[in-house]
Amino acid sequence: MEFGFQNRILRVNLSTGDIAVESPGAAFFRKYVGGRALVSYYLYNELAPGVDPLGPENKLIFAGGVLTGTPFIGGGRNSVGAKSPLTGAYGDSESGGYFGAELRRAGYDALIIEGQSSKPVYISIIDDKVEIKDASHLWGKLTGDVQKAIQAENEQPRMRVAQIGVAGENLVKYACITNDLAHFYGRSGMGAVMGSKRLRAVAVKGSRPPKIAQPEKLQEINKFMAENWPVMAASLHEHGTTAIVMALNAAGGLPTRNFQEGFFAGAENISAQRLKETILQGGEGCFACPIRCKRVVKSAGEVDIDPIYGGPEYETLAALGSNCGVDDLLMVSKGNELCNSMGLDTISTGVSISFAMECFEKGYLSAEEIGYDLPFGDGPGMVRMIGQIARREGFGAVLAEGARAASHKLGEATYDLAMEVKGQEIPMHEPRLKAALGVGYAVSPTGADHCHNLHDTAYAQEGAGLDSMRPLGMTGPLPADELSTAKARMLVATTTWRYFANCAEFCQFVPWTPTQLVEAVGAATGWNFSMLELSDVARRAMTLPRLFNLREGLTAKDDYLKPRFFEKLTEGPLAGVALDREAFDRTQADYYEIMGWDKEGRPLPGTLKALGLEWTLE
Amino acid sequence: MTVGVRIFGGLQRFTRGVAELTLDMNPGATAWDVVIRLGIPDNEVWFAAVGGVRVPREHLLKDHDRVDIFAPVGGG
Ligand code: SF4
Repeated sequence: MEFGFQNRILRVNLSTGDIAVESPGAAFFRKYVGGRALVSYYLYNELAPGVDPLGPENKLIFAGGVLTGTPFIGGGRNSVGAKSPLTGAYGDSESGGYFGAELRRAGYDALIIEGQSSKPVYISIIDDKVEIKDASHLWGKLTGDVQKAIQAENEQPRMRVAQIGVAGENLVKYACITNDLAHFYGRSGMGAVMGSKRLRAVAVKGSRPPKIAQPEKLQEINKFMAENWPVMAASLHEHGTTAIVMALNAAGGLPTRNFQEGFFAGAENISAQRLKETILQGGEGCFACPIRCKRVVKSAGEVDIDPIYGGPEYETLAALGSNCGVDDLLMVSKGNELCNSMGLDTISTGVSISFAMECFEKGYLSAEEIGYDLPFGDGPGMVRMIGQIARREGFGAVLAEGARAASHKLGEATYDLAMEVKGQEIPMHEPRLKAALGVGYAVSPTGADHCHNLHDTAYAQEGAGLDSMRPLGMTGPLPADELSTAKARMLVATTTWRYFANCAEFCQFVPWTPTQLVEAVGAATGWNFSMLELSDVARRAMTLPRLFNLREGLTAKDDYLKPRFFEKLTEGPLAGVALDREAFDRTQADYYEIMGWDKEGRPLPGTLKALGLEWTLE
Repeated sequence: MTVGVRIFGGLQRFTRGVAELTLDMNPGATAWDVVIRLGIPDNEVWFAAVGGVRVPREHLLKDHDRVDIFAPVGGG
C-alpha cells in the first residue's frame, strides 16, 4: 500500500527490550483507518480479560489516523489507549499538538508499548532509529524541564515529546499524558498506565511523512477551510473554547459547586473576556491548523504562571472554577499550570476536589482529615490540593484514586456526591441543559465523556451544522431538553461522526462536514471511500470498546447517570428543571436498539456481522 | 430608552466586528427586537440574556438593561 498509511506499527516491549515493526496491510487499514478503531482492535485482541491496568500485561497504544501528519487542516490529532486504571474499562484519549503528527512522519501509524521496565526509561524515535534510553535523571521533574533535557541530549531541538509528569509517576488514577507541554491526552488515566511502565516519555523526530494519493484534491478541500475558517471559526480563534463560559452560564448550564447548580454568580470573573483583559498572552495551535485556538497565559508577581504550559481551556475554567465555586482567574490559571506541569487531567482533578468540598461542607469530611478547611470558593485551598494529589500527599492520596474510589472510602452517604460515570469524572456540560448528552455520558465506554457525545444545544435549530449531519441520519432540529426516540437517533448520528473524527483523526473544532471528510479520506488514500464506510469505521470503534467492557464484566448497570441530574436545579435560568427518569431510560433503551444491541447492551450477532466484526463471535 | 448590548460567539460577523454597543430602543421593545435591529439572522442566535440570564424572545426591556446575544454552542 502506497498512500495514506505508512503500513508500519512499531512495537516496543519494555520488559524484554524487544523492538519490532509489523505491517497489517491495506485491508486492515481500510477497515480501521487509525485512532480509536485501531486502538480498540488491538486492545480487544491482545489484552486478556481482567488484566491489571497498572501491570505489565496492559498495553499502551499511541495511534494516529489516516489524516494525522498530513496537510489536512486539523490533522494534528491522534489517540492513546489502554485499559483504564480509573474505570477498569476500555480507556482512550485524544490530543492535538505536534507529537502524533511527528510519529506518523517518522514512519509509524501506531506505537504499541508492552511490558514494564524495571527502571525509568524513555523511548527515542528518529525515523528507523528506535532506542530505549535511561530516564532516571528525569524522574520527578516538571514536564518543561524534561522536554528540554530530552531535546538537548538527543541534539534535536525540535524533537516532539509526549510524557507523563509527577502525577503519572505516582500512578494518580487520572494522570494525563502531555505532548509539547500544552496539549493533553487528558482522560482515562493514560498517564498512570505510562507511569506503571516506568516510561517517562516518548520523543520522536520524523522525516518521511505519509504519501498522499491525490495531493491536489486534498489541497482543494483544504482551500475551502483556509478561506472560510476566519468567519466560521472566528470566536474559536479569538477566545478558544473559553468563549462558552458566559453562554452556558446565561443558559443555566455552567456546572457549579460540584454540579449542584448550573448558574455561577462569579462567571464573568472566569470568562474569556476577563482572561483577555488580564493574563492572556496570545494563542497557540496544533499541527496543520491556522485557527490557533489554544490559550497562553502568563503572570508574575502575586502569582507566577509560566506560559510554557499554555492556558486554561473552557473545561478547566469550569472544572477548577465554577465547579469548585472559585471565581478567581489567577487561582484557576495557577491550578491549570500545576495540573499541566505535573500531568493531571484538569477535569477529573476539578471534580475530585469539588467532591471533597461538598463532603466538607456537608460534614462528611473534616478539616482534620483534609488537613485544612476546604469549602467551595477556596482558590488557594484548591491549588494546594492539586499539588497534594499529584504527589499523593496527605488527603491528596485519597483524591488521587478518583471521586468514585474516594466516596467508597468516605462511606455510602457520599456515593451520590461523586460526579462520575464508570469511575470517570463528569466533564463540564450539564445534562439538565443538554438532555441526551446525559444519555451519552451513561453509555460511553470510557465513562463520562463530552467529546464523543451529543451537545444538544448545537442542533436545536436549523443551520449549516445540522444540515451537514443529514447524510449521517440527522433529520431536523430538536429542543435541547427533549428526550425521545428521535433524540436517540440524533445521539447515534453525532457520536458516529465524532468517533470517526477520533479514527481518521482530525480536530472536531475545525468545522469540517462529513461529506468533506469522505472526500478527504478518498484523496489521502486513493480509495473510493463512501459515507457508509465512514459510518462503519466509526461504528466499529463504538462497538469494540463495548465488547471489551462486557468481557471485563461491565453490564448495562454501568450505564448510569447520578441521581443529582434527576433533581431540580434551584438557581438560575434552569431553576426547577430536572431530567425525567422515565424519558431518560427510554432514550437509553432506544440508543441500544438503534446501535443494534440487546436490552442488556450487548451487540447482537447481526450487528457484528454487518460491521465485519463476526470474528469477535468466535 | 438605552440598552447596552454585547455580542458573543462569532455573531460579531453580523455587526462588522463590533462586540459591544449601546442602542436606543423604543419603549416596549423586546429582547428579540435587539437581534432584529442588529440584523443577525434568526437561526444564528441561540438566545438573548438580560443581566446575564437567559430570557424568552418576548422579554420586555427596561432602560439601562444589558442584553447579551449568544450563538449556539457545541462542545468545549
Ligand atoms: S482548532 Fe484548535 S484544537 Fe483544533 S487543531 Fe486547531 S488549534 Fe488545535
